Amino acid sequence: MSGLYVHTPFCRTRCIYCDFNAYAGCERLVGPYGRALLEELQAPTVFKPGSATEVWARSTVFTTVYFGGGNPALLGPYLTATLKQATADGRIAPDAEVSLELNPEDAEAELLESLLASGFNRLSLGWQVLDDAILAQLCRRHDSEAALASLPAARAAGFKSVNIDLIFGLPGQTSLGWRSTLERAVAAGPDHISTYSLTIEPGTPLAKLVEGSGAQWRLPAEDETARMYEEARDILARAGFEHYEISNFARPGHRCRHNINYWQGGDYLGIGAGAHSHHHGLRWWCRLAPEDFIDNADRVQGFEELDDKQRLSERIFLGLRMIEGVDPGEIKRDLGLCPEHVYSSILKRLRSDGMMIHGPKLALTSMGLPLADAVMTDFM
Amino acid sequence: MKLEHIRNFCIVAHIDHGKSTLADRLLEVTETVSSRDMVEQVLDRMDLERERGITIKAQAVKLDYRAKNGREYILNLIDTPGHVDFTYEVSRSLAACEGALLVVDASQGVEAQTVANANLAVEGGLEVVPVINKIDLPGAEPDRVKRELEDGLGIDASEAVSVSAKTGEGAKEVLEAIVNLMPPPTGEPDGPLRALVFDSAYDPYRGVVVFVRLVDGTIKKRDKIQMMATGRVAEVEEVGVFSPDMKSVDRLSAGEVGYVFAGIKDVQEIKVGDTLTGAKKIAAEPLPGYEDAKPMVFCGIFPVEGGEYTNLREALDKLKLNDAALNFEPENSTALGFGFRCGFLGLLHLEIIKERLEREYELDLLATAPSVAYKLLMTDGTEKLIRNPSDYPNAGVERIEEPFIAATIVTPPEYMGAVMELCQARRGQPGNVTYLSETRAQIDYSLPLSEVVLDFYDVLKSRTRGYASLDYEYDGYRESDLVKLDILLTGKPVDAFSAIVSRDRAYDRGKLLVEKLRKVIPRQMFEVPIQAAIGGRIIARETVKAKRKDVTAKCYGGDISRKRKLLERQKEGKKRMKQVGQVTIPQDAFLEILKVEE
Repeated sequence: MSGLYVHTPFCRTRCIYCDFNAYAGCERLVGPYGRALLEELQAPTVFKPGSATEVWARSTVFTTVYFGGGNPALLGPYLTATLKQATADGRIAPDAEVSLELNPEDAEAELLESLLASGFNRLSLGWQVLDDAILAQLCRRHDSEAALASLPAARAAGFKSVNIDLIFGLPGQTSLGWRSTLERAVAAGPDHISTYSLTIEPGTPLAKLVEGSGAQWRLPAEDETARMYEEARDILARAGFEHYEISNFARPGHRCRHNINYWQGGDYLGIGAGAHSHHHGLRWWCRLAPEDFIDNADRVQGFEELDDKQRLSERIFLGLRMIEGVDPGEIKRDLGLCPEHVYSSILKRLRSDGMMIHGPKLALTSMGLPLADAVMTDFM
Repeated sequence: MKLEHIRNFCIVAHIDHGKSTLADRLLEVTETVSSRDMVEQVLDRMDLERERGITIKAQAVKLDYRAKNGREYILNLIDTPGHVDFTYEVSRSLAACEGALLVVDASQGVEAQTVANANLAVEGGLEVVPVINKIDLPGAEPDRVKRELEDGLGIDASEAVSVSAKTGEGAKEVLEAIVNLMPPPTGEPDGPLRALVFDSAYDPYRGVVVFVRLVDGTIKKRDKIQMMATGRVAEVEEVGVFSPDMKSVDRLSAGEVGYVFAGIKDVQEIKVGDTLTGAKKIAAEPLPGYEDAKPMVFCGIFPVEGGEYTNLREALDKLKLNDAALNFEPENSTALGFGFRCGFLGLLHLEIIKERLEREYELDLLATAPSVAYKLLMTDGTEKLIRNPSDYPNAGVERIEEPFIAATIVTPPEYMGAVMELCQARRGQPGNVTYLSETRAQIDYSLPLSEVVLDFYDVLKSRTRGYASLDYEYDGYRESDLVKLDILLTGKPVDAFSAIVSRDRAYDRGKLLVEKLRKVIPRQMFEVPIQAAIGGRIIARETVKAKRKDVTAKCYGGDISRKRKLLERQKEGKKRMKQVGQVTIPQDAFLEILKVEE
């Protein structure tokens, strides 16, 4: 299984909490960037020319595709052109999952229909929260009405798998407000819901605001955020969503295969500014600035070769994000290292502490899930 | 040189009253140091001494001076350490002199260390010559200061010399006063050798250099000498004088000050206060006053990173080469791992050693709260001395004694109330109150040393806006009503947090400590109860709630490297904390314990 990720580093405006590789006001770069994407897709730059990795990057057939950003809709004609070219080159499996991130304000019939026609079959809608005051405070360009309207629009265009992205732990957000967002989101009938706990990224405008004294920027207390997470798990379970990854819930048959591939330590090719790739313990990433990505024939900015110990710890910390966990036997087959052996005392402690389950798989308990990072740290 | 042309003197003063600056001027005026080589505080050779404006090691320097009477004199200046921790060294330095310059700041007046040093000098039979310094400053009140010296200390100030050590004004008059007012040394140049060891230092190439003042006899190269207290015999390799760098001479004789190299490799073999004599012609009596330097304050010093233990041991070994008063033994704390229980002369000594370890040896250290040595009288009639609160036995203690100090505090009268309140709160017993002048009062207090080792000096300073000064001397052991206070995390005592405190205040102290710890111990995977206990009885409890959430949202676009770095950083942060059982304690917690001011 291999995944293809295509990054769009453009936004109309930047959200105050975002530290992804995305830039506002770069419309003039869209054309050159789109052409660079097409070029890169046909002959991906790999940091080790002539290697097995290069052969893989140039010939593998992708079973999942994910267009993320930024805002992929800003690619205009290049959005569908990129997918069409990859399909024409035989790089996309016929039954591939092909996802696209879309902001509610862009969910218009014409675009949606052309997306579906060019091969996209899964949408991820960035609702964030159904609270207009908070949306405005975060400088999002949509309101809850636009969010709620985007789902029927996707259905009308024919999308059979739709995700809704939600955020909790936002400044000004309460448990009560979060519950209302969840319940209305469930009622709208999506196939998948992601609930991301807000991370305050250093250097973002939000980081400065929450450090300031403004009462409207006060973050909910740790206990409150923990409660929000519990509520999401309760409400979504009752509504028939399976909790399959720390932040992700899906109706049967709608798990995001692309993201699962990340958690399982799979191979993926990332194309576009700042996009990351991974193949058998080799990881490399493209130049971060869109101009640099466009202008340089060699688009790789950096790489790392993971040693066995790093691969092992990654497989575990990524695998622990999956609710079903990770099979130590599988890791041993892939890496020749046995987690139960390497981490025997840590595993013993985490199990007796009730953070990890007793069983053949390495998995977090309900108690361990909200503390995943603290647990994962033990495997570093 | 005839004895009557020699003067051996020291300079004593309260901190910052200008002792080192005056020494600089005397070196300049006598052209002992050329102006080209002149730096500030010539005699303070360690960076730390210059930075802090204190003298840690004694130094000596020979000044050649032609007096107004036309005769040539040798003036040996013995620079003494200026802090209560080093009182024993000060007294040995004083014993090497016949006279003392008592430097007093013309605007500050008499301070606690002025009192203490003046008393030491007078008790040692020295001729005290007051020097009123900083007379060039606008606030100078030399007449008031003279009155304080006469009324408060009973020192004749009629021949006090007024100087500005900064400008050099009066420096020549100081030299004349030394020649005219201080007596020359007395001794038997032809008698058996008796030389007082007033300090020693370690030279990595040549071994131990012994600082001596000859009282009787002579000493020269290839003489066989013997240390009277330790009995060690050695052969002299070189003798010399400080001018101010070491300069070898053929011989040193009675009345003179200089140095001796005798192939001694370990500073432990040469004790300050000991008497050197001839191995073949042994003196009948050693010079009086030898004592072993006794550590009074103890604390555990632990490397933050367990792997630094060996480096810490090597660093301590090296410092000990030059500091006979420092002692240490391995300590294994369940909370802090392997480290050393170190004994110091006092708090400043502790601070200096810790700072030198961190600065000169680049070690990252954790020090536990300083403690004193308690004497336990057991029900079975035996006696135990414990230097670490965690060694306090669970049973069998009949009574407990702790060291006391006789403190001298000098303060403007308006702060007397504040000073007495503080001393009272620290279990002090008041002694005499003496008015040195209308603006300065001297208050004597008997205080348990343990009440002084943590933050007494800082609090005293802050409650008197910096005006009060403190000096003290050790005053023996006395019985106190003390208990061991334990701090328990998740039900288990943490040895590094144990303390021995007065029974009356154990409850308040316990409550305060658990409150502070609750604030500095981060949430863990579990609820962490923090308890304070006396004996088996819990007297206070707080709880650090369990961590509820610690999870990052996503790894965007497959950027796993970033996620890994994040977790690695988190791990790194955790590594810098101490793992005590299941509980991770940040270093702050150990520092917080040190700040006990209620």
